[in-house]
Amino acid sequence: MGLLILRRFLQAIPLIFLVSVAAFSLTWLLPGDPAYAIAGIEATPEEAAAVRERLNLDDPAHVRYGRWLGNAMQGDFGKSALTDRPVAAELKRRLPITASIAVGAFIMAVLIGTLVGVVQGAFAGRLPDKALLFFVSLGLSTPQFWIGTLLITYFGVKWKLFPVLGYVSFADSPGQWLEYAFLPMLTLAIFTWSEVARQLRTGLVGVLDQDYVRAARARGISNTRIIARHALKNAALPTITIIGVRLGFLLAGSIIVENIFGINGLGAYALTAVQTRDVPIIQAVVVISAAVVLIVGFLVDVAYAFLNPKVRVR
Amino acid sequence: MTKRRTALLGFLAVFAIIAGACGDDADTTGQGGTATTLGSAGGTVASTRPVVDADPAAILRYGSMQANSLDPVLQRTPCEITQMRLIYDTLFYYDVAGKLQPMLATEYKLDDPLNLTVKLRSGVKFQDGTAFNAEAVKFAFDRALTDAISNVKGALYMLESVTAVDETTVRFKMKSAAGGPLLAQLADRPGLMYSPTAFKAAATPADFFGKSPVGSGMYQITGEYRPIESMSVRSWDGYWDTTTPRLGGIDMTEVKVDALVNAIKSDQFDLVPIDAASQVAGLKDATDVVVKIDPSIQLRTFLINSTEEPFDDVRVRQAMAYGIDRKAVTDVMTEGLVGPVSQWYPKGFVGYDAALDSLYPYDVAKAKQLLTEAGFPDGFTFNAVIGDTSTSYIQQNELIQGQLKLIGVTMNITYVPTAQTVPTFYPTDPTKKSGVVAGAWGANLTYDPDAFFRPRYLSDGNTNVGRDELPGLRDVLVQAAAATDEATRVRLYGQAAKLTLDSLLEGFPLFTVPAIQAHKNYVGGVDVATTRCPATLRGKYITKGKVAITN
Repeated sequence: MGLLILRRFLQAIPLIFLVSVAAFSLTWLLPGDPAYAIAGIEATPEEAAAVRERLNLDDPAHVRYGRWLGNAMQGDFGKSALTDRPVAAELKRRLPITASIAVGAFIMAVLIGTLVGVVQGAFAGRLPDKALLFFVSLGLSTPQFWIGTLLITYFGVKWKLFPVLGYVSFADSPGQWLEYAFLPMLTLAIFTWSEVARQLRTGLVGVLDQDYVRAARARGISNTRIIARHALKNAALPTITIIGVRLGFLLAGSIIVENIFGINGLGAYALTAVQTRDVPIIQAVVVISAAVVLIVGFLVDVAYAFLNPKVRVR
Repeated sequence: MTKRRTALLGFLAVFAIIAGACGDDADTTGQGGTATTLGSAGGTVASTRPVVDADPAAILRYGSMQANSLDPVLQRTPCEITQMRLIYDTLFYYDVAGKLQPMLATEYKLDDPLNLTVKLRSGVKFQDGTAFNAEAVKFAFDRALTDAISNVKGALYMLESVTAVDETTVRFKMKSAAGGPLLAQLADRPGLMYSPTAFKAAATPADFFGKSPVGSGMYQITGEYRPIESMSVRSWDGYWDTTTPRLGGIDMTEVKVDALVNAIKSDQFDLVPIDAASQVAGLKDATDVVVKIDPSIQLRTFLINSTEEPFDDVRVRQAMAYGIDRKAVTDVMTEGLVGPVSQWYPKGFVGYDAALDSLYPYDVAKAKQLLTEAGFPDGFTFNAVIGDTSTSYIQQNELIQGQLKLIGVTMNITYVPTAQTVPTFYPTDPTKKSGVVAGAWGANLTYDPDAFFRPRYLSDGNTNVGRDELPGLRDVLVQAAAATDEATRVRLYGQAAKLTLDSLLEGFPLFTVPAIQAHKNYVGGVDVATTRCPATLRGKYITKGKVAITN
């Protein structure tokens, strides 16, 4: 197990390095002059040149990369080209917002997806399975922006049950956090729980057909107990992989959801930065997102190895 | 008229026209040697309607916050002045009719063509207790002229120095006679006053303007200011103007354009700007929301770089003007709320000339004839640049693209990141021309036409796409800036408008964008709708108990 953890950790280092090089290259890949964005619309050429000098924009690429990487490793991602505010401070403020919604959506998705998947698996081919399959298929095929808009229209505007814009942190008020975060979490969760349900159903149908389950049934053990104590663990292995992959997607989905619901999290920060060509922010978000995805992948690998000993020897 | 438009117009609460704006009787430059008092010296600065039982503790929730800098001399977006005007007052201001009115200054006198004396309001204090006086004015203008980060120096091209004559008297010495343009700047960003004591006490200017700016405005900043995201202000008890309605505070949050309609319908906001006329229909069923629509000073134009072939031939430029059906474009873009325009300034403004009202009517045959005369009987192809997220500009350009096909002209559209449109259109290096050949673009009119024409048409102007200059225009602008009587100003700026529209050197206007604001029916003081950039929040109020205002 220890060897597996060490191996996965060492594999992550070159990946992060490559991501950092790609992120830093954005300075050249994106068109235009960042000095202009900083100096403002009315800036004279001298003012733009002063900005270039102040930010060392004229230094050779490798010198700038070395300086940027050194600072980034100490948590300093520079300042936003647009607002002149430290990127690290904004990331520190926004990451928990995005994380709380992504984690909330994740928990919602796993709980509901597991419940739906188990019911479908237990009643495979019968009416409950077919009825739930309709909703699962709907959840898998409906785009997030449409779900979000629909939820806003009915739950926010028509029935005024939930606020449609903004965010209150969990620390400030758990009740208000839930009130503001519920619709965004629901929007994010629907696809994931549908996928979890589909995987789990497929897994359960396969497992419930195996000899040891038939033997358990022959011994008079109830179906509920068979599923809860024997079948679910074995059926869940492929689902865990899906859950791990979906965590990364939840982060990506936050870009859409945060913009629909006016939440100033990491996703909205990234989108605005791309639209305004705020390179320091884009670089930081790319590196941080890659790190989060790698960490999640790492945890999934460890969890998988824990549940399935065969993986540990590979 | 379509059913949709009839329905749209049917529920619009108010549709006012800024008619007779500043022009005829406005005295914006003073008479040589005679002190000129503008408006009522003790004055209320805004309200035009009776106030209905205002709640002085109410907090207004406004659905826009685009300020990226609260430093008056560092403009990053044209919208920032909306937030700045809440914290800082200007020396003068333009009222809704476009007339210069007193604010921190009560009167001015043009001593001679190069010297302007301004009398300040006495007894005014900044929010830190520092007295507002002539030294504070001198401090602010000296910084605007000399600070390395100041990007309003170009707007103060005429200003040489500022002298504090006594506690309440300031003298502005000019390099060139331009009293009118200078007064306009005293009502704009350079004229925003902040406490010199608090500024000097702050660790850095960025700290002062980013964390705790101190002005003499009716509101003080509270909590954390987050650029282009959120900002809150609360009423300041020491404010000099006790007559203008004041809220307990304003919470401003930046809301995506597409979310504004739902934002107000779901009761999360009290006042929101509506950027697209098409969104007005979405508010039709909101019975507690009032939609206010007025003309604005925001123009949509067809921008041309006349130093690029084939636009270096005036006949080609004129062919474009004849070949674009401005009415059709305007109808689609504004849902028929306003009509097209054929000159820069609307009636009643200095810069308007009645003789220019029917220029370049839509005429495909005439356009083709001009192209043939210019040597392009089969038309030509050119490139236009548009921001890739500016849906309104994309739509506008695509409409024009279709129309130009009818005269044989192919307009290839290149999409660039929206943030890059301004640098692409207006390169910072004065020796470089814009990469843009032509395309539909926007522009804000200024109450003093000098600030509109000078940057666009003089070779050293920072929004001149081709860096070329119309012969004779500089002389006209210099004379107009120095003019001290209104009739001469009207005549000369009318002449400047004619020169620019005859030559079409920088293109031509299409329409003025309607200013649309939606507010809850308990919000008062929305006499005239403003666009998001800039918006006027001064004088807005909420009724006690949020009782609907019935008129």
